[in-house]
Parts: sequence; C-alpha cells; structure tokens
Amino acid sequence: MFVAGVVLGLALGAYAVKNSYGVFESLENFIAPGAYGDFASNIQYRRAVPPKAKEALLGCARFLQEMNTLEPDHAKQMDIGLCYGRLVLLEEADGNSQNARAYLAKAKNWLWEAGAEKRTSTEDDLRAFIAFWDGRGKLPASK
Amino acid sequence: MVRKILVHSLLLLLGVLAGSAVGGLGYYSYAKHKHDVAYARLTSAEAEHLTATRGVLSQIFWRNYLATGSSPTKEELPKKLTEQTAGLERLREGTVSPELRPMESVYLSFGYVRLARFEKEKGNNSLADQYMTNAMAQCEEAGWKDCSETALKSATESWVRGSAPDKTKVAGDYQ
Repeated sequence: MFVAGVVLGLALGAYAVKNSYGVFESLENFIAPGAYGDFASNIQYRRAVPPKAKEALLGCARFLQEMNTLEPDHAKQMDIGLCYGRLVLLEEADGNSQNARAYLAKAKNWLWEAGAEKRTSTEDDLRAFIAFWDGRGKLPASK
Repeated sequence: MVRKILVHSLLLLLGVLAGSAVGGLGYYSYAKHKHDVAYARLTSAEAEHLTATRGVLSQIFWRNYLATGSSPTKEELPKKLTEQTAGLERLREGTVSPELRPMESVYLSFGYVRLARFEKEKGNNSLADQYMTNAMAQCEEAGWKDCSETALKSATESWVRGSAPDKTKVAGDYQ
C-alpha cells in the first residue's frame, strides 16, 4: 500500500510542480514578443519618423533574438527576419545602401532559419516576401 | 478489520506524501536545470536586458488588455482608462527599460485620446482639451510624423478596433 501511495504521489507531485513552476515567466515569454513585434512593425514602422521607426525595429529584433536564444521557434525567427526586412526598406528610402545591404543579409539569414528559404531564395523573392508581409504585394511562389 | 483498513489507509497516505515530495522536488530540479541551461546561452547583459524588457512589455500588454482587448463596456471604460494611463505614467517614471519609452508614449497617447472623447461627450470641454494636449505631447515624444488631432483619433480608433478579439467585441467606446 505504501509503494502504491509512493507511485501515486510521485505522479501527483511532479504534475503539481509542472503546472506551477515558471507559469508567470512562460506567460511573459508568450506575451512579450508579440507585444514588441506589434508595436515596432504595425505602429512605429508605419507612423513614426524614420529614425524612431528604425530604433523600434532594431530594439524589437534585438529582443526577439534574445528570446529566440532562450526558446527558439520559427515564429520569432520570421518576425526577426521581417524586422530586418523593414529596416532594409527604410534604409533604402533614406539612401543608405550600405546599411540596407547589411540588413538584407540579416533578413535573409533569419527568414531561412525560419524555414522560408524556398520563397526567399533570390533577392527579388526576398523583397517580394517582405512586401507581402507589409501588405504591399504578392507572396512569391514556393520553389 | 477496521484496524487493518486504518493501517492501510495510513500507509497509502504516507506513501502519497513521500511520493509527492520526491516527485515534486525531482521535477523542480529538472525544470530548474532546463531553465538554467536555457539562460546560460545568453550573456549576463543579454539575460538582464531580456528580463527587464520582458517584464515591462508584459505590464504594458496587461494594462492595454484591461482597457481595450478585454472588451470593456462603455460604463467600465473611464475607470479602466484612468487606471491604464496612470499605470503607464508610473512605468515611464521608472528607468528599467528606456528603449520602451516610445511604446509607453504611444499607448498613453491612445489612452488620452479616448479619455478626451469621454469628457467631450459629457460636455467637459476644458478637460477634454487637456487630455488631447497630453495625447499630442506623448505622440510627439514617440516621434510620429503626424500628431494632429485627426491623425491621433484615427490611429486610436484603428488600434482599438484591431485589439478586439472579434468585430462584435470592440471596447465600449468604439462600438
């Protein structure tokens, strides 16, 4: 009876800790990337002056990279790639082609990491992919 | 017979207690190890930045959720908006994550635009003007290209509608 109790207790104890350990942190890990991404990509990028928009996108990319180191997943990698993609467009609009090229390389790396390599294999496809997520174009065909 | 049942029950209870302690501690050690291994992949500066930023982002998210995403009614809103703007103002006073100041400014600006709308409806024009002035000042700080009253009202409405879980659950002031 004691052994049966121990077996039952082991499962109960582990279950109780599993459902309570780090719950708050897990919730924050779920909320924070979306909150930053939405602000940087949907609010500041569209409405702020370029330096402020770039600041938000860079801050978001930095934070998402840290989060991705902690808990890697394709959604965060895609968002990082798109942050760099939007930075490419802002830098090109400002005539900073050197910065734009550096961000383009980063965007490509992150989008490939996220599994979008078939749709972003050429530079034209990569630009079309970014434009699509910006709501300004068609998604390039998967190769 | 009764004694036998009591002894067995006691043994079962003791077993469950002992098992729970071992199981709980075992899982805790495993989870903590997994957590520590994940954080060890970050430098200490990165871990510090991540923790601080994540904390502030969550606070901003919850404040916005209570005043917008949770679909509050029009009657509940003035109190919720006052709490949201006061909470965001308090967050701004802290120096935990200066990079998030523009985000606090933007959401403060939305909050003030909504409060101004309420006050205008009640006929408190001078208070409404004060809220709108606050909204514009926050907008300027966030670095928006257009901080006119019209642009702010339109941005606020589109943000409130976009934050609703679905079209039928928009916060009371924009239904």
